[in-house]
Amino acid sequence: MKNVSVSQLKYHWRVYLFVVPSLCLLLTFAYFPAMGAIYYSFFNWDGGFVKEFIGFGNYVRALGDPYVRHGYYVVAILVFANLFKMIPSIAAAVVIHRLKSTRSGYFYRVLFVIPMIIPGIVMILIWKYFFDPNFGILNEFLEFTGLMDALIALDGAFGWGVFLADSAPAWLSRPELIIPALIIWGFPWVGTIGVLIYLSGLSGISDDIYDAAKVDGAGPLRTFFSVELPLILTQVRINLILMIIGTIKEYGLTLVLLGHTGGPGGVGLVPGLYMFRRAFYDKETEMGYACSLGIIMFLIILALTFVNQKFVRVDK
Amino acid sequence: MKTKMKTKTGKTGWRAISPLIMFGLILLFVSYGISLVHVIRIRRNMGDIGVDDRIVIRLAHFLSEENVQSAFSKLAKDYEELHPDTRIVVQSVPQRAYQQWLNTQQIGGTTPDLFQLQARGDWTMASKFQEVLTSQVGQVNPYNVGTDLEGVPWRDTYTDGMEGGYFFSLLEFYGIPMTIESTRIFYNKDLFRRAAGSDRPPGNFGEWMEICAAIQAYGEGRDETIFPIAATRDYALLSGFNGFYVTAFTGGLAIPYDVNAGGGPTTQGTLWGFQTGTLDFDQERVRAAYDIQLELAENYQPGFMSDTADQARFLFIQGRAGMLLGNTYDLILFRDTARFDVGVFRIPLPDPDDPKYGRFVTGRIWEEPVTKFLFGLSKRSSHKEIALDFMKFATSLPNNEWFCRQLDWFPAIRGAETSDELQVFAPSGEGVSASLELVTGPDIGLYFDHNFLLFLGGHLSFDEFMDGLEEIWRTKGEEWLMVKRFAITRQEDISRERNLSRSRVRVLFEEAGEMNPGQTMGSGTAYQLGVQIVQAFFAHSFNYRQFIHPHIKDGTYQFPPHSLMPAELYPIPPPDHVLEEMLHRGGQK
Amino acid sequence: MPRLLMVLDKHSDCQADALRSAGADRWDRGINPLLRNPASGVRRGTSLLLIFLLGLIGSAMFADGAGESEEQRRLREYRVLMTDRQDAEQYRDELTVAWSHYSALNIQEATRAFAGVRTAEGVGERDLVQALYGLGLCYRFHMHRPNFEEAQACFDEIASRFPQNRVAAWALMERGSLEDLETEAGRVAARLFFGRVLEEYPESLAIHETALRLAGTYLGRTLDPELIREGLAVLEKHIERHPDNPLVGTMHYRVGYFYFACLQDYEKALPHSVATSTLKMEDPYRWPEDYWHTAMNFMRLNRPEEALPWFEKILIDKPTSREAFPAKQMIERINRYLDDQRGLRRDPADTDSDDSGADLPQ
Repeated sequence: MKNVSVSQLKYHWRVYLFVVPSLCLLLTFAYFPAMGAIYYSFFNWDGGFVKEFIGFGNYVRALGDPYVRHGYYVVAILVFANLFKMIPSIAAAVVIHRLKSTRSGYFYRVLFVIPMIIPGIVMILIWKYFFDPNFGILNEFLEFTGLMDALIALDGAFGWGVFLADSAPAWLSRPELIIPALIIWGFPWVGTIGVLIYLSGLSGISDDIYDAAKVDGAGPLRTFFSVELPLILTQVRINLILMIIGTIKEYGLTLVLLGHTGGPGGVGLVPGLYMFRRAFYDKETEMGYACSLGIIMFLIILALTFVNQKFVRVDK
Repeated sequence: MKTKMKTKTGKTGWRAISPLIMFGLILLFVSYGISLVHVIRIRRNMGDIGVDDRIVIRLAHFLSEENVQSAFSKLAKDYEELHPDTRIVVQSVPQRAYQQWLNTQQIGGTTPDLFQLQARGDWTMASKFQEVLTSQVGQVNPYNVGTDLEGVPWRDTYTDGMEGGYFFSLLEFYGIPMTIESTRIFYNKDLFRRAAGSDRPPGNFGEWMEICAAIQAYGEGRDETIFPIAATRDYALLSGFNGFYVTAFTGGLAIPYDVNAGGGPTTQGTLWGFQTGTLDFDQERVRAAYDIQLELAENYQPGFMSDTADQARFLFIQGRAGMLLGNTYDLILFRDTARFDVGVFRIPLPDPDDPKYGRFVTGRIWEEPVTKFLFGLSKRSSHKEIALDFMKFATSLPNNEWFCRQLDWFPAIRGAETSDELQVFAPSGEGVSASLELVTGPDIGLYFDHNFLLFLGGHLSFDEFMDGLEEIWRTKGEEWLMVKRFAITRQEDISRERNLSRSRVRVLFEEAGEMNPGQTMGSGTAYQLGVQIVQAFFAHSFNYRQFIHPHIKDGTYQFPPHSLMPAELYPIPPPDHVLEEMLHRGGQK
Repeated sequence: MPRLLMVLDKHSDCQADALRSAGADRWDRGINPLLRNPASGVRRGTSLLLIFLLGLIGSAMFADGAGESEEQRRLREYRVLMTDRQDAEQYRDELTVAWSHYSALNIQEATRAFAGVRTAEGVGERDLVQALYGLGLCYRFHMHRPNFEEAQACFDEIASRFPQNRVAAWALMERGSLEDLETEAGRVAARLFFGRVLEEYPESLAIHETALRLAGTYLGRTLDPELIREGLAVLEKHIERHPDNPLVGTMHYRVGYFYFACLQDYEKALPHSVATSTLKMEDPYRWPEDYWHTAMNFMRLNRPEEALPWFEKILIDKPTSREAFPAKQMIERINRYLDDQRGLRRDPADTDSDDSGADLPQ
């Protein structure tokens, strides 16, 4: 790319003028609030007129806050679980990609796109209903398939005290079941966006490579591990970054499923939800502290993204 | 180098634009122009929305039930018949979006003339966007002619003297209330008859538990999923059963710790009780208040901890739950949607002879008989007098009586009749208070929210729960009460001084306006009231905390305060070891 | 009597007022010999009649003005408050507009309007003083950008250029209020200004609020017992010198509550507690709290007989307040206790109510 010097600006100023409106909007609605958050994180601020400069007081408090520590612990578990939850999307994309008929491939692609029109909050509410111990279909499904008996037996062996013969498990009300519920939700974890991204990656693989693999005697599984997966690692890495960022920031799920407390014992109180509670829920809001929690979250995401970029290499 | 756009035909400049695009551009600019003019017109003349020459008064609220809307519409129609030059437009905005909508309207300058207030006493928005109503509420309501309230000042026509509309921080009236809210238990009369043989509501806690057991057995017997009580995480918490039973069992217990002797519980007193080792949450009354809730929780539906109020209502309306804790506004909703008879009763207390809890009950809790469902008047309204006149009309004795009867609400106006059925919603103006304040500040609140649910679910014992609560009081409680709250207090102080200055200048300058005695709540002047608020109540409240706290910490303050009062005169005697110490210090031992 | 008055109070304020004023003097002196046992209907009826008659006789005896009614007191205070009031000379309309902006908290418009009068041609002293005062307040109370230096300058200008003007004392008081009371230096500076008002303008109306503010730089702001005594002395002396000033109720409150809550000196607090309650708080919603406080002041000194009328006053003035039920409990307990003391123990079977709340509305 050619560098444009300042002296040449007078010839190209009109071009830059076109950028100005978008830039203004970006600065106003994206960067200005972010700068505001950084500024207010150094204050004891209630979102209104109460504003006291306390320096790094909020950050020191956050580092010692047990709720913050617990929140990131939960997020770490969810990130680890979401790593495995990426697999069904990859598998689905590979299966669709391998369909011999282009028409049926298209048909399945459309089937995967249609759920995108359903707002995410609706999906979460549907799952909230699934988790209902009295009327939800999750417990009915477990009963019907006999998995409930297996869980009761396992409970008996390990002494969890959660799956009992005489009562349906309350997935969102028992502290022991909250994290499993947050992991289970969204089953079978075939995310639409993920499938489409992987499909676009797979469609870029030349047929010659498949032919060569066939000639070498590679079976379906071998083809996947040696050909397809390595060649879509770029997409996998993108999804990985998006997944990590999304999981750390996410709080809508826990807010809808568990409420502003994060469930009994605050088991599901992820950092985003904690930040929301401090900022908006309590009668005496602590917006300044919530801003500092947001900045800490941003720094963590930045660090992880940097690590990802630097160390997760994709060698094709 | 300048370039000019050229078409294939060689035309340049605006001639180079095709006719179709030109037409589109013209259409765009004309439409924009029309919108701009329309918006400017609306902003300038909020009351005239161009339908006819009538003055338009807009009223907004957030109750979406159809009955509310039609009741308001009828009031509006009746008012318009009396005042043909006026039109009342009633608008309902969903509650979830209401506050954001209102904030936007206020900041944008397009607030409706009258709007429902969500939080009574929110001084930040009130002083900026709402009109002060103090002098108006002292006027006579002309629509009470021919009734017993004829000639009575508007505020005195209310059962509470319009206290509900009084903003204590600002020393002025800002809201016009229309009803009284109460929290009660709604029950399925049909299910009661089938399960317990009678639809009579329980007279005490023991009877209540018997009915719950009967409903449970009924459901199991028919292999149906029926729960005695539909609960939600919110009702279980402070505002619901917890607030009720803790107050009923520990009412009066805060009196020894009431440093100021103001008659009410003080969170500072609780903190100092811990710091001096004289207060312990683990005492029998508190234990009993939580044990009773544990017993009650056995009748909630499984998974109630994650259920919202809507889910609980759904269960009740479907007939899958026998009872539900709700408020005044819910009755009409249930009557319209449920396919069974709905009854109401107050939260039952154990009888004095109840073997388990009887001796702990102090009495029915005091319910603040304060009117609510407030409406504020926008400062930007072009027709304030007319808007207020409509509210006077709506809150006149016959109209308030009619309006509340339509909605099965409890009327706010003195002498307004209501059905016998609705008497159950009448607030208990006489009852216990001064109970221990167990929660204050966001950190203690968070701990309580989390662990109370664990306690109700049986995952935490009472001792563990209280030990944790006491620990957090000792650490976070002090930080909140002695440090962070001061920042809020200081800001509130500025606003009170500002308000006082508005009265003070009327003492000094004629041009600043008139000031007469009796224009505020009391019989003095606004200046005297302002000075007392600033110099007495808040200054003192601020100062005594600053003074006492270090003395508590260095042990030079007698806590609980010494008293010569004989032990038998305490409404609820404090714990023995505390009483012993107080009486010893008071010289009675 | 309390129950009857409660009923009357509900349905007829006028009738209740008449009865209260008839019986008020007797109550306020804590003498209520006929109301030992409100459970007795016969005694209650006799009490009513006697008090009413006593009240009538009392009113007749003092009808020539020896006792001041509340209404008269308020009127007198109001007249006193209006003595420092002054009007504008030339710029009446502009100043009226400026004040209306200020009242509506349109501080920016108010600032502009006051500044306009300040810099107007040929502006007279009264107008200039008013404009400067208004500007000072605007600078102080600007919603987002208060400017204390400018505010100080405005009030300083009034005090230095127009020391003879009635507003000068108030300006000095405002100037003192601008100091930062969180710091010792600020408090010392504030005391200087407040002291000047009291010394240089002893006839000004401003001295009353100034006395309160001066005491406020000591009470609760310092742990030094000497300084606290000084603060209390300011108000106590002021009350002695000006017992009828319009802010005396607040002064009694301040002193009384400080002795009570902070110094735990209930003897010294007592006369102030009683005075505050007799004069009544400016906000009627505070009355029950204040009566309770006064009653508890007596209770902590083991004088339950004198506490009784104050508990009863809660039931009369605010029967649905938070303090009403505890007050009722205290009345019952006190009456029982006093009966026991006098050996007039009732038949245990004859209990009107007990502590468990069984007789409360369910």
